[in-house]
Amino acid sequence: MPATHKSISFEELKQKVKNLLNDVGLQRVADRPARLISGGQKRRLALAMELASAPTLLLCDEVTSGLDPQSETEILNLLHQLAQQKKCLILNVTHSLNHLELYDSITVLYQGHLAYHGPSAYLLTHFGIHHPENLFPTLLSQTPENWSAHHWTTSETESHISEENREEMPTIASPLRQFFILLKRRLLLFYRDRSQFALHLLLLFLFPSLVVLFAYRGLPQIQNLNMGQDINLIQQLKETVMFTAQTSKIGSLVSGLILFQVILLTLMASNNAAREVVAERLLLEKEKLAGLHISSYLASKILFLSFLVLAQSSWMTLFVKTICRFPGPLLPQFFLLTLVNAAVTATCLAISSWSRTTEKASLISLYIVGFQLPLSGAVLALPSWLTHFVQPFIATYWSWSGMLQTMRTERLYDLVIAISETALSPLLLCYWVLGAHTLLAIFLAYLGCWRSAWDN
Amino acid sequence: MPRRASAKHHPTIWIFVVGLIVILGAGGYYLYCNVNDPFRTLQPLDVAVYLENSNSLRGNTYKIQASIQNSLAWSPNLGRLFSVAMESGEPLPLLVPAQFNQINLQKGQKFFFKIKISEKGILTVEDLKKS
Repeated sequence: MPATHKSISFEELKQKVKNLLNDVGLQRVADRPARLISGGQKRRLALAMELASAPTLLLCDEVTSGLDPQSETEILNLLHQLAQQKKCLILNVTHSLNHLELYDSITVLYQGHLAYHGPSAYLLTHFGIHHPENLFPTLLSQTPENWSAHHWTTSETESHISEENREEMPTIASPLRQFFILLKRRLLLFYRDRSQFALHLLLLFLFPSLVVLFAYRGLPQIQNLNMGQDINLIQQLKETVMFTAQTSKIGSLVSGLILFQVILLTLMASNNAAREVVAERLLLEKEKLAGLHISSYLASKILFLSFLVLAQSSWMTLFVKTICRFPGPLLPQFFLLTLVNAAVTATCLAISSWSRTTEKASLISLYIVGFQLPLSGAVLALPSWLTHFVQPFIATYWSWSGMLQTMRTERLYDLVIAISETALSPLLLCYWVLGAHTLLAIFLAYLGCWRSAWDN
Repeated sequence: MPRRASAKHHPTIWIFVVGLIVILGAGGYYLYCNVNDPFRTLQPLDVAVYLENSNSLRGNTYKIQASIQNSLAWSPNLGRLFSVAMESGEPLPLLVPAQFNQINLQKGQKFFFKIKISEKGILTVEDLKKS
């Protein structure tokens, strides 16, 4: 990491390189260009480069392939030493059966089936062979399923791990503890990623400001039509023309302000969650293998995203309401803006959990937000046959419709109704649908996190 | 057991997903049917029958959906008398009692009205909700 480089002086760096070369036994060729050293030495150099970051886990894939027997022995001895002295967990995938005694634990996979897992000392006994070289021919003598069954039945009785060792084995943290650790990690990463932090802050304050630009002096008052019958036809016509123009202007303004708030919140929602899982997918897969509970992982994500959603929605509601004197009750409007933000955030989280790349997740999330505006029916009414198919899935419509319903007792509501051809839905139904979007998307995100992404 | 096999979702998961969608959808449909009309348990007023013989309906309670047209009369104690237009276009007189005086009724506004047909055949509003 750049921060680490900056914190180490040149002398310290030099000493560190020297120590690493000593560790891998390359001190004698330290001044020689890499292209001039042997194959075994190049492997050692590659190992030294990996060790520079002081890893606690080292994954080696066929690290001794193509080496002469002496180099192979040296590399395996070196890995063994590192495992013992540096307390580094080393996983070596190999087809070589030499020096099995240097491994603490051996796993034999046969066509994807687990044929053996245990100490090297029991390997030969387990397969009934006298020499490791006989392992591959012996494996071929039975089907992978048989070997797997054999392993599971014998592992019960062989009991390779002594009671003492069992106590020393690390235990998997409880789901609750995992949740708190993951949440702490996420908050720390959020704080450390200054560019993301700044972007969130910018959107948080900029977007509500964009909304109030259109009505920073508040909303206009309405001049009503004459209710009596004591005016002549010409006056009635004049009044009607004036009222129609007023309805169009003020109704569009109110509907637009609501829609603008909702759309900007969905944009923030997309920014909140589109990269959340996919950006750390490899890490998630590794942690799953180490015993991570998906529910803990997802719960930490949900809580973290809830902070963002609440901050964005509450600021949007309060700021617009205060500056524009937006009519209607505060709490229901806050709930509706929070719910639409939560629904789209959860949807983008689900997209993130099912996507293969961050680019794809971001693009799909942006499309989802982009389609909200035309398909909401708030600007242009959709054809009736399309409305029934599309409307249930458009979170923007439910929030816009619900926001208008909260203003039902206001005169402004009548003006919006007069110009809008899209029918509004009851407030309770708006809450329900947005809640359903959120719940379903969270469940899909759970399934997305649960699936294996190693094939990616 | 192969690692890849365990990574795939069990079919029951997808059955659960479909079940969840059906439950959420059914809940939404129930709300749509029951919340959309605030007076759903009331029978709509048959305007033709009312206009023909309003006395025959006296004492009954109905619902109508109509828009305010003109204010015909006003009394601080008795309330306001409006002419309203039904969705079919027929005009009706409607007495909004004084208890609703605080509600601002304006021309063109659409309402759901719960109405009672009083002794003299006058349509008296018992409750109203904006549509």
